[in-house]
Amino acid sequence: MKTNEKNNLIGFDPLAWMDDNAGEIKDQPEEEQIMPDQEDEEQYDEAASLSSHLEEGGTEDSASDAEINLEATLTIQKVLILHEKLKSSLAVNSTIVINSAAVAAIDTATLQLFVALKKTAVKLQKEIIFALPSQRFIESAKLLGLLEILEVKA
Amino acid sequence: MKVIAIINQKGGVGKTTTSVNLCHALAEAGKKVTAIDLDPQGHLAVSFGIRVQQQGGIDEAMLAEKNIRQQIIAVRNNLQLITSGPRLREIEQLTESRLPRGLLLKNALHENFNDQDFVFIDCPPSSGLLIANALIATDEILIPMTSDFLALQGLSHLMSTVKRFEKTMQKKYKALLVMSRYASTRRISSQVLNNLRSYFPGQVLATIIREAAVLAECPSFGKTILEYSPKSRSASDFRSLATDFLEGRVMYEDK
Ligand SMILES: Nc1ncnc2c1ncn2[C@@H]1O[C@H](COP(=O)(O)OP(=O)(O)OP(=O)(O)O)[C@@H](O)[C@H]1O
Ligand SMILES: [Mg+2]
Repeated sequence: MKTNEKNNLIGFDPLAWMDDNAGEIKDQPEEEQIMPDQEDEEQYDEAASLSSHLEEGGTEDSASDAEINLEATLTIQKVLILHEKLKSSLAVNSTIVINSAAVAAIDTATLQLFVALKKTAVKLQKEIIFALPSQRFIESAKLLGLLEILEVKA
Repeated sequence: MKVIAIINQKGGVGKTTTSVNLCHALAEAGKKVTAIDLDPQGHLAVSFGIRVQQQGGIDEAMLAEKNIRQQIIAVRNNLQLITSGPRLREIEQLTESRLPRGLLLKNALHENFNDQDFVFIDCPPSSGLLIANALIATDEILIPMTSDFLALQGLSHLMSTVKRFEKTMQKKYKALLVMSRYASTRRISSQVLNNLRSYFPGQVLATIIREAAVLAECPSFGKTILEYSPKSRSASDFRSLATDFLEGRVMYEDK
């Protein structure tokens, strides 16, 4: 529709796809990997340790384990509340399992918070585990180059 | 304070020329401006007449070795520069797993430029980690464009990257375009411009920067166009572009 008859010097309109998704942000034809691919050199075997943690649940050390469920939409508006929640949980537990299955939208501020918490946990010799990360959670962490720091398995 | 990435993964479209001259024109108009050279080629610094190849710049700030404020060089009245630094190339290849690779620039900028009106980032012609850092650190982009077919093709590629970031990061960029190398003698130029106006109504800055030999000459003297040839049409183009930018003067679709 954008190619009018006068446009005879442009045979093919590379921007035509932009008409199809006015407003709604959808997947693009040229979906390209902007971040360098994560190298799988460092295998933490996070999956194994993660599932064992999840299974352990009520057995040994249960007094110092906590599980937190993330909501679907995580944005800067909610980051303070989430920060408080995670901080106080980290204070009294040695392992926090953050169930990330429901995450449908997550912004930079929230991911920054997770990075900070993960670093704090290391200092305190405690552990934060992102369990069952949703596709969107993985995509966003990957875009920011945070998969390894957050120890999220793509 | 606004952070604006001057971005286009296509090489040679005028990113650096736009960065240098728009920044200087804004500074002359009394705005406080910081220009950051995010291109390992270091052309922005050279264009301002700064040759400090071995000295660190944004590289060390991104690696959190220095505070970004230590890296500032005053280059003109109201205008300061942060050079690329020799290790920016390493950052582009970074696989270090302990660093939040996409957040290096955002974290380096943090709240350090609240005294500035504008921070411009001159991006490299690539679509790797540095560009990801620029897109994550900012909510505004300025896209320089040439007036040929392959530039449209490149823009399509760029917009799909931008939309991918918007979708994944849950944000919407303010995107502006500038015709930065307009070849008035070619017939296809006006059609490319029309295409841009119809796809990006209200987003193409009103002033067209024409192809002009003087613009290609000034970098080797380390001068902006406002210094090299202040009375030239190119100089007034850039002054007018600065006004467009400040006042939001844009083109709309041809009715
Ligand atoms: N309007 C113009 N008229 C004439 N020459 C121009 C114009 N704009 C840019 N140039 C010249 O074209 C070349 C490329 O421009 P510039 O370095 O600004 O592009 P770039 O997009 O920054 O390139 P790169 O992708 O390598 O960073 C330079 O030699 C510059 O002097
Ligand atoms: Mg350049």
